[in-house]
Amino acid sequence: MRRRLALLAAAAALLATGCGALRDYDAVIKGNRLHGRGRYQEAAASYLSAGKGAFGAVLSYDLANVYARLGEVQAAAELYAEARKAGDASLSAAAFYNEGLALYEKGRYEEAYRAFRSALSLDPRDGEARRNLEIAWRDWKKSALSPPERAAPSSRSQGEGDEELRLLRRLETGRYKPGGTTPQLPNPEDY
Amino acid sequence: MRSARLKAPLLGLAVLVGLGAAGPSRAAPASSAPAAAAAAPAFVYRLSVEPESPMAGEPFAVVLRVEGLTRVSLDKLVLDPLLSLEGSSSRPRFELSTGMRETETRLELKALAPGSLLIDSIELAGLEGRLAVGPLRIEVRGAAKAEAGPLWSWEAPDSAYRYSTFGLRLAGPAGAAEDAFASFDAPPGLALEPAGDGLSWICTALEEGRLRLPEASVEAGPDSGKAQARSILVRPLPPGAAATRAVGDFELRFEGPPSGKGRAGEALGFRLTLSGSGNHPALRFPGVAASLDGKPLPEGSLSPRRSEALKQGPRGYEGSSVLELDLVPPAAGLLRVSPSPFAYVTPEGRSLELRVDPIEVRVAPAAPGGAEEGRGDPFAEAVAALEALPEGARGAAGAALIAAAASWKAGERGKALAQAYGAARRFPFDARAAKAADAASLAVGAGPRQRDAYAPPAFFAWIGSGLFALGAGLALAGRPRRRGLGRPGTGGAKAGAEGRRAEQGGAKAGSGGRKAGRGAKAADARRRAKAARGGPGGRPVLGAAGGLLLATALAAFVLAGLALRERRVEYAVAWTDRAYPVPSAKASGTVLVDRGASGRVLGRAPGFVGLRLADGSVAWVPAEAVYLY
Repeated sequence: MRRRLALLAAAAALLATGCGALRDYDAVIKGNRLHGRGRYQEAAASYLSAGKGAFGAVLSYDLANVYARLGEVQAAAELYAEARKAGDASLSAAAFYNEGLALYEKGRYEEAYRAFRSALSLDPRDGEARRNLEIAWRDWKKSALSPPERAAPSSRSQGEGDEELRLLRRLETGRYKPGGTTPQLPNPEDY
Repeated sequence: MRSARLKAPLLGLAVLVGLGAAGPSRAAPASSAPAAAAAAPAFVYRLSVEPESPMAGEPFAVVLRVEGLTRVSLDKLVLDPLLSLEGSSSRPRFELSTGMRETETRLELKALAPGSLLIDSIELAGLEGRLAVGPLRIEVRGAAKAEAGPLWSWEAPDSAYRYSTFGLRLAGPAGAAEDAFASFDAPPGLALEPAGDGLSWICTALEEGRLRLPEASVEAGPDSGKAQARSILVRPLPPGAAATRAVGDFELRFEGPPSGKGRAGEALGFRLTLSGSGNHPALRFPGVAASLDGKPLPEGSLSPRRSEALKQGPRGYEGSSVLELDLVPPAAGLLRVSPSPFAYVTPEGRSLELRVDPIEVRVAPAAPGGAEEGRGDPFAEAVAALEALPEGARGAAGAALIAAAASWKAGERGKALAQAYGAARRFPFDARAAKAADAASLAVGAGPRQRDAYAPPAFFAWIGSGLFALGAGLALAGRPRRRGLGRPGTGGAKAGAEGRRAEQGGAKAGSGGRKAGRGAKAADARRRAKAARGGPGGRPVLGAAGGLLLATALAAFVLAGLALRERRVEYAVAWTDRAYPVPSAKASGTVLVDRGASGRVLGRAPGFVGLRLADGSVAWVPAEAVYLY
């Protein structure tokens, strides 16, 4: 009898744990979907509703991406750093890369350059990180020589001077599939 | 071109997460395809690319033939990161026909991706000197399989006014994957906002002239393909609408203090509401002028706040933009606030103008020594009558309002506001609660409270239950009654049969002279025949009415369910002026919130509560400043 009760209790505990993990998973997937639709605040709320236990690093990373989209680079950087603590090289590289993008958009070219460099050191095959590294380097050097008001990017891309920025601002045309199941490594055909 | 990545296999589940952001792409300052570029003047050279239009992933050669330079070696080569050098060679050539001596340098390259790629410089060193060539742009075609997809196309108007909003969509084959997404370089002069899926956007044209929609790649599984570039003519706005930048169909409303009275030194609120469909985010409100006794007040005396409650529609944005204006009359007199005419142009090109009547407010002199406590405070006045009632007569709603009044008196206005709103929410049919909540809202001046769309679930549940009982009764009463066939064990049928036998017995008695046994047999035969034909019908009208009531009851239960779900939504009052765009102590931006503004709880984070405010914006408010109701 006691054994049965113990088995029952164990099964109930397992079920509860499984349900919790499933709920968290669902929250992450929902957040990804909302993120993909540009509903960043709702995506943030969805991510925040997930428990941090199983998805800690990924959640930090996802939330950081949302914060970056909302223009909160400092808050995003804190979470990117948290995501990198998990030790997943791929996630860390992606975190550095996205942090670099967010910094670049804020006109913080030097920090963006360092972030892209870190991303590249973790994933040397990443051609995009390499290209962004070059551009961040060039803009950093250019901004160091230019008057301060010319160094910061404008809020909207206009004119030839903002060529890179214009390309950067393809926020709505990202190639990723939120909630997809396969990693998207740089693919020559993507260019 | 920027792609995304991000993966995270967790708990055995491959989870793709993250940001697919655009990144800086190489800007190409150089000239186009293989052609001679800047070179040292002493040497004549010819440049060719073999094949002329190389393909991504396939090797190709850049051949440089230089006259007058011998013993050539490749000294320096700066390539686009997407180009790789596979090999190089130099050899002397002699043209028999012309007698020309030259050196041919051949660079074997491979492009990793299609697009316009750059060779920054090729520097050759020879016995006679050096030659630098570059930059050169190589147009690399995509792989064949990427080009052979079904055709996609841009769906957009051929022309649009500057600052107008319109829908932009990538249309493709019917039944293409729902999670399709596109990749393209956002054109300059166009603001894009995603509209639901990965292939639709709401756009605002920012610049006049030809707006070029670039070639776009659409990733849709087997239906992947490309959309050709096309252009939209962006026309200038008509002169009248140039100041407001408004394109659409609008209505303008202007409201002032409901009482039409005010007091010097006390803020008065005015509201200019522009509703309809159009380019709300891009338009500008008309100017508003104020005067006191005919003398214009300084320009800065009206402090404006703009808010928007918009949703995406087929013709841009739908909803309303609100300009709230606060004005503190400096002295007593007749205050007159008048907005300028609002000119706009419809999408069809008609120039129109909206005018609203000015609002006049009689401003009384400032009260000496301040107002008496409770007087002039609409919430205190609304609750004062309740407080006068004996406890037993207050009811549950009254008790809740008394508690709110206690908080109000204690100076906890946010808490009191939430309590009053909560009472109005819990007791939606209680006029006192609604009145007190509105009074509290008015006293705080922070906009309306959040309201539920449905009546309480119990309301629908009671109605549903009543209708169900009534409908079931009618349905039972109206069902067809089957007469018994006298089979053993069917008591009711037997009783029916016996009754009918008794009737038939009476008939038999009347007929006289026949044997009882024969009469009973004949009656039984008739009855059996009638039963075989289906028996007598019930009352179909009753049955139909019962069915209708049952269906209505079902609808009421569904509404009860919806109302129950709505009741689970939390609302809250934000008693602060400052909130944050993200729930983080590191947030650099701030969101200005009207103290006492009410919103729907969107989410929670440690130390923060996310509220969706009435204007649709989201603010993360410190938890200590949030009062739920």
